[in-house]
Amino acid sequence: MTDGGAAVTGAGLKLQAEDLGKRFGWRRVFRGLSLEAERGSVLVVRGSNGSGKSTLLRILAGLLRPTEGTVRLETDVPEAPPGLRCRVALAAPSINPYARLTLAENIQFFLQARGASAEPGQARRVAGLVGLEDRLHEPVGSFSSGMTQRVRLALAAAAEPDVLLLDEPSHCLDEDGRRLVREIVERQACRGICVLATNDEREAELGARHISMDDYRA
Amino acid sequence: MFRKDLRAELRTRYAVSSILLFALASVALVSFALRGEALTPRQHAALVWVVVFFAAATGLARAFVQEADAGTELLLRQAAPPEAVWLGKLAFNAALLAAVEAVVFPVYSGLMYAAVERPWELGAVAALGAVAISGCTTILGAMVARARSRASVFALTALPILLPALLLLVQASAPAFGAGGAAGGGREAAMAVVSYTGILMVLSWLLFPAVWEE
Amino acid sequence: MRMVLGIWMAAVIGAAFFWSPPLRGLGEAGRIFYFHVPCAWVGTVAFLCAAYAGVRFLGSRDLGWDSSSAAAAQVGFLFTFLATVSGAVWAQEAWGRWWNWDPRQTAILMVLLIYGAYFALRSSIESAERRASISAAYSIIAMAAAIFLVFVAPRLPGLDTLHPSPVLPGNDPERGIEPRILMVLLAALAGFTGLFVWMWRIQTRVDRLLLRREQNR
Repeated sequence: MTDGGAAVTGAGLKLQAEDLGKRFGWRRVFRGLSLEAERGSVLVVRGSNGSGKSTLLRILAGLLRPTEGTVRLETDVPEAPPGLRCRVALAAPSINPYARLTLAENIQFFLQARGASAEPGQARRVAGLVGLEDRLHEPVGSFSSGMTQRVRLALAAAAEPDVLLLDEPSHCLDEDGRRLVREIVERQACRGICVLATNDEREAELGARHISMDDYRA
Repeated sequence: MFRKDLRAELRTRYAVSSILLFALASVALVSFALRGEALTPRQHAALVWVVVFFAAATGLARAFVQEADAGTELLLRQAAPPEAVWLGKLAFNAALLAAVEAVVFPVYSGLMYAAVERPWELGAVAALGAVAISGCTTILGAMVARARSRASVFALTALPILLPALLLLVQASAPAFGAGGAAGGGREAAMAVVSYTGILMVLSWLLFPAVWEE
Repeated sequence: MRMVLGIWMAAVIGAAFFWSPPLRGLGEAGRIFYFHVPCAWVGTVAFLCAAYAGVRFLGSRDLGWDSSSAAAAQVGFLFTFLATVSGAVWAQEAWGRWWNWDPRQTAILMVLLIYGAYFALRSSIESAERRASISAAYSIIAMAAAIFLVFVAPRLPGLDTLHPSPVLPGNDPERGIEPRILMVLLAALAGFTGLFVWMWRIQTRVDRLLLRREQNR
């Protein structure tokens, strides 16, 4: 029922956000932000701490309701499931995998819940994406922070979303890990859209277009 | 969803043991306090369900509180649609409660010398109770997960919602403890529990997305 | 509007004391009936209003509706509390005990509990939007629970109610309700409802202002 982006190469895909604004109670984070991205774009969101990068990503992922504005994802696949949730995935430092489950179980759960198939080899393949095949059957709670970050990336990428959102992807990662991030971003750019939020100079180079949150401070 | 929670739980058995300890402690307290006094079947029924209620109030919020605390909430929200989350948590809570009841009821009747004249009937009512209590309060768990002083707010909000169900459950299980009178009264009460739970579950299902999403 | 309400209420109070004949079997103290019943009525209606406002909030996401819901609850709580107390006073006068576990008394106590839980819930959540969603959801669920209890409890076997039944005592049971009593009661109901609406409006305005001040800080 569900399609990965891969089946639809060449079809149109557009992420559109209009006049987004977010306010938490009395504190306004940003306002008047609009953006557009099409298949193949890698968008980099920059901004000082607290400027709302993570908030923006959550809104784009459909996990947070904006105070103003709308987000729309257009594809011309006729049977596309409604709602952003199935077509978008977010990996952020504040989003943790289940510590008491093994890596394999986390992967299986995530994929199955989203409706993707879960053949036995799938979990291994996904773990392989981030170099954690040999840790497949260990509880994620025992992983180091760098490994946990790899798990986050693996889960988000495994879902094969049309739009992949990465909040500080190289957080806690070593050189090897950074290379993985680059690979993931490049792979995503072929199949869909990728949005990166970061303050890291090297990470920022991964994308051609830049948005600065400071421009939209209220 | 249910499987995931179940697996995580079996690994540590934290929730089950804490609720169970609490419930058993309550039963022990009751039996000490009423040392061997003879109680009517209705009183037995009432006490048992009071213990179950408090056990539920202590333990059922965990399903959601845990997600919030561990930071896995957003992962879950990305993974599954709200209805699936609700149903899964509900199933987990019901199973948890049923497991607790399976221990509490026998222990209670043993310690309190409460003759159980119709064990199968009691078991059926207990199962119904587990589903009913979870059905009505799972959404409350989601509501308090991100609030302050969660445990007490959960118990406080759960009480009024559960009161009709609990009263009816006592009514329904009294015959099994040997209350005289037609078995029909118990059955009527059980039907009422079913309809009450049904209504509240439909409402919970409709309202859950509003509570779960931001 | 306020003038009309004031005069109306004064008339009702006067009628309750002087114009209506004493309720059979309860004597002069029975006049509290004109106070107690409308309070209970308003207390329950208020919660319905709060739930309604909650539904409107969920539809429109406009925090104004949430203020309205909270306001209705606050006013409703006051009336319910008064109803419970006046009921207890009446019980004491009529039957010699404050509390009787009569289904209706228990029901109103449960409504009071619901209000309490509602306020506890509200005060435990900091984010205004979340607080609004959750309060709305709770008010709807609690309303269903309350309706169920109020209508089902009296039917539980083995529970008789001390509340006079038929609830409206007349001086002559065969002829039905004494018309004067009925008139005063209806007038009291109308008056109290008016009072409620007036207080609700004011409280909503207060809540909205507080909300705006909090947001503009």
